[in-house]
Amino acid sequence: MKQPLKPNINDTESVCSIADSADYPQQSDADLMQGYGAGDLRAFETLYSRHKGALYRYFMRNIHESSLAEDLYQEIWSKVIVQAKHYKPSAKFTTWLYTLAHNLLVDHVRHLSVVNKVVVGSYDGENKGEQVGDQEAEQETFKHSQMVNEPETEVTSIRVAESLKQCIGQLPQVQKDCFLLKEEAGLSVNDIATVLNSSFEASKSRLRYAYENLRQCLQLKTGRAI
Amino acid sequence: MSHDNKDELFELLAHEKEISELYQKDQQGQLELPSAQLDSAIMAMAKQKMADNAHMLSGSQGLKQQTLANRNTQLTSYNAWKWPFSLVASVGFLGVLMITQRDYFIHPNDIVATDVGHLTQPGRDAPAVSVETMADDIATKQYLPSVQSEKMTHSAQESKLQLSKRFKSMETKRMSASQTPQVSEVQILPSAKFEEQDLKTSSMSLFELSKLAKLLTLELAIQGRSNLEGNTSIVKKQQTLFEHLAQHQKSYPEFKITKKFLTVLTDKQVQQLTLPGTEVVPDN
Repeated sequence: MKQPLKPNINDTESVCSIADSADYPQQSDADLMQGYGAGDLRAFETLYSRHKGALYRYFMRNIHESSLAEDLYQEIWSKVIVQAKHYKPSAKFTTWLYTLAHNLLVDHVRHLSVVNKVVVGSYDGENKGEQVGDQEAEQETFKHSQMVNEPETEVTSIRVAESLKQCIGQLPQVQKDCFLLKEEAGLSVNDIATVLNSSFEASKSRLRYAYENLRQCLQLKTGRAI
Repeated sequence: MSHDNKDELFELLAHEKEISELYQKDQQGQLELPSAQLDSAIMAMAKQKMADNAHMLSGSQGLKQQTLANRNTQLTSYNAWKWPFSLVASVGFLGVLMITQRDYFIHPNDIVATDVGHLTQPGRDAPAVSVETMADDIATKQYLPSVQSEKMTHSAQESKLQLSKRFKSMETKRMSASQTPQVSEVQILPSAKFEEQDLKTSSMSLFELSKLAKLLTLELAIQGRSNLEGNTSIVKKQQTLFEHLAQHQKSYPEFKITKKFLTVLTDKQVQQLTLPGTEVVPDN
């Protein structure tokens, strides 16, 4: 696993500067990016604070291993930093950022698929069995938690949220991408199509399937009709 | 239809909206943020990159200035050496041109001593003047005017006389040298051809001897035998014919002298050729 770069500056100072970087709320992402390219570090801090959560979760939802997700997350920001000097706002910054992220993710998935083929050829069948077993166990746990006398609404919301995350993780990759780009990055269908390098109709269709699959999955996991 | 209009057409369905709200309300998920260490690492990366860019910019500016200075130095040295080099190159080129094309540039009258061997080669149009003659000519032309202008002393008069003599002899030589072989050939008469041949060839063929005899017959018929003493040409031809006939007689003992030869020779020559034992064959 790639270790995060050791900061040269004080961590506290960095965090404070990020927190104080709300002096640029009116500026667009493209302006902030160009400002950083021109040598304004606070512009980058503002930009980073705007997008760090969504991008981080995008990776975390796609890759279950958090350390690997953090590596990819850091790699994307390093690309942004390197390309800031030559950045030209030909498209929305968010679209450009998530295109980079998606491409990196695709490369990573391809790499993993090759590794899996070489290392564990018969892993898929076993994994499917495990997944089915996991689902059954989760349902049992959910039923068991319902039986325990805890504050009902809180428990339910936590469980639903966990179930939703699990359902998102079980989505096919293209549908997962569409859903996360829609919900996390807030991209339009057209932007999603740009990021995924597909047509508008295809992206729209994938998004519909993603919601439908999530609905069925949640019904199955929580027993709650949506 | 543009993509923006398409986006407007896409609306979430009821269950899709509910799922979306569920996801957005997931407070735990929304609080899922990168660690402070990761934030610091990324910010440090951004700061480092900015510092590198500034350093590279200053470095590139320094490099540009250095390159400009080097270029200026090169231009200065080029400007300094441009004209001398051009001058040397021009002189060299003209020198090579003069050496290779000297016939075009040097007039034959201005030939110096070392050029004589070059000009006397076959095919040259320059007059065949000797080295000494040319040198004297030049010396005389340069010297005479100054001598005339000075007061004439005895020694000067002597030297002037000597120079005048040398000048005259030089003129004579030049005149003789200016005659080309072609002109001489034109001026030679047919009758003199045999004299020249006599000088050139040691022996004449029988055919040539008979031609010479015929020529003598004609000349004798024109001049008459009484005036032979005054005509050296006929006498010389007779002598030539006699000598060659005698030589031929010695070389070929079986050779018999015909009457046509004897009629053109003098009586004395005929007696010498027709010794006792020799036989004269009539012409056929």
